[in-house]
Amino acid sequence: MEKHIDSTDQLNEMGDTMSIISEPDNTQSDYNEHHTKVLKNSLEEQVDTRFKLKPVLQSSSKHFEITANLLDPDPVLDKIYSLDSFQVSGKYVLNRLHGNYTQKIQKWKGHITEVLKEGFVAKLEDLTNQGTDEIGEFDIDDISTQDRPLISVGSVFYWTVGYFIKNGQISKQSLIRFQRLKEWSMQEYDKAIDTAEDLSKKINWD
Amino acid sequence: MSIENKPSADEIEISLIGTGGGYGESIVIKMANDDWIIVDSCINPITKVPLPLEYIENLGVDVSKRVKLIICTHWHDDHIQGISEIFKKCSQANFCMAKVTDKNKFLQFVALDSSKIDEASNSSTKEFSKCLKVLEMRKKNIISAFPDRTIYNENFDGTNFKIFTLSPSDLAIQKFDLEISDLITEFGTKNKKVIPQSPNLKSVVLLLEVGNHSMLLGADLEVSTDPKLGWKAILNESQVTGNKSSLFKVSHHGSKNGFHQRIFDELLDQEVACKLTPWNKRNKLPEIQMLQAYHNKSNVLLMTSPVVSSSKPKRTRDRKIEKYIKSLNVKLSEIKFDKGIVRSRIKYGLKNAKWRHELFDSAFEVKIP
Repeated sequence: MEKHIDSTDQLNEMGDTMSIISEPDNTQSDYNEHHTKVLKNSLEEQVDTRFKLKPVLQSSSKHFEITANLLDPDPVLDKIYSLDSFQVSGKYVLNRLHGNYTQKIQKWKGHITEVLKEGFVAKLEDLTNQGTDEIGEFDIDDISTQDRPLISVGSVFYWTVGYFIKNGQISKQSLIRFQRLKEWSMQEYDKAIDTAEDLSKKINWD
Repeated sequence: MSIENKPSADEIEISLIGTGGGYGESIVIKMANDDWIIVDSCINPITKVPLPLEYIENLGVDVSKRVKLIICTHWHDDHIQGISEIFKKCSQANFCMAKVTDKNKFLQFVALDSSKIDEASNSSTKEFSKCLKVLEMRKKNIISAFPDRTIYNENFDGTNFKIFTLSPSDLAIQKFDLEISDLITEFGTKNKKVIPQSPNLKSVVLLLEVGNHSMLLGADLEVSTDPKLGWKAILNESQVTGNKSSLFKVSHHGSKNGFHQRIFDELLDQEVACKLTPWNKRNKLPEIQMLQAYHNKSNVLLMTSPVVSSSKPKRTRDRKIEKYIKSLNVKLSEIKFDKGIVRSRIKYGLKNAKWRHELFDSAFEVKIP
């Protein structure tokens, strides 16, 4: 299964794309096929051929959408996500942008505090404006059928609303994505047990 | 009087800091010889600064030397946020929390939960985990809280200053061990926030005795149907509650579950001053009939901020986005940050001295005709 990379946040948060801006002359002249080729080659040298590049011309800069197979953990993607910008070559910088969204976007991270008959209540942390939290009451009909089994107290999800531009068309979207992560590995579990045993030896309780 | 004014040497202080309900509560206490004690922690959600630390520092107190004890009454996010930062800064302080029988199991739980991804971990275990690291570094012991235990005992200027923990009861401690076992079995996935079921019954209630003055701080302890749990266990079994308290921090935001007539009859003075913080999330506390009940039973009832009915989302957003959110099938309401401080001071050397209360920010006196 192929998924888009979310350019602004967690990989599996939403089906968004990552953009590349060519620098420094990103407002110059016409779109140049040669540029694409150079950029593609330099990306592939440094990252992986699993990434597919699709040039998109926008008014102020040259963008490239990247799609990648996200089924397996990917150290290269992890590296990209750990940086605000990723140096692809001396000439190109991979920026973390809002992908296909405009700047008018609002994101929350939520966790379910109460499950209702036809929905759920969640505490929401505002990822866009920070500051105070909110309480949201959601209807089960607004959750995708794949995500519904994940609705239980404590489950973590992301909610994004914004204005989406695709092929020049603007549409409003509200996306709720529940986190899906792999199970704990035995190594991770053992490490936690070792940490606990170590602390237990060092800390006394009166 | 200005909020920066320090108490005089012959005064003790008990200040309740509230945030409007959603971001926690804390109590700051001044005891003997400029010793300070912090009970629980809460933060300003905008600056992330722990409010008790900010309050004491604004008084000009050197927290690294004068804060002697940090008490974590229970394991709820609204009582623990920022406590590790306080503990780091208060380098002379001891750390007190409810007794845990199976320490290894508890530490395993904390290690597992705090190693989860940030989004899913319980912030209370993250805070605990950081406090444990400080304890390890300082080679200090954890002071366990259990019924009738003395956790602070000083004699200054001919006056005894004592703090007792009255809870959690033995049964509550046993139940906590079992709950930890259940929580550990929930570690199948990394993306789920573990939510403890009933930490309120494991809350640490504190009794302060200074000379002939007594004060009772009720944390979030509730009344259980089981006489071996909650307030009934204290009322039936405590051996240290001889003096009636003239000041009471009302339990669990003045909820019905935190109220028992016997608390007023047996533990509190007829002229008691009560103070409380509200709870302003989806459910609102205290309810009006409970506010009336506490008002009737106290000489003065003080709250850190009003109970508000916020049904509106935040106003800091782009107008278009706000309009769009309104059109969606989601009910959104802001958890307001409404800081308030109820400060109470008394000259402990005077037998008939009365509490002097001061209200800051959103704090107010409840007056019901």
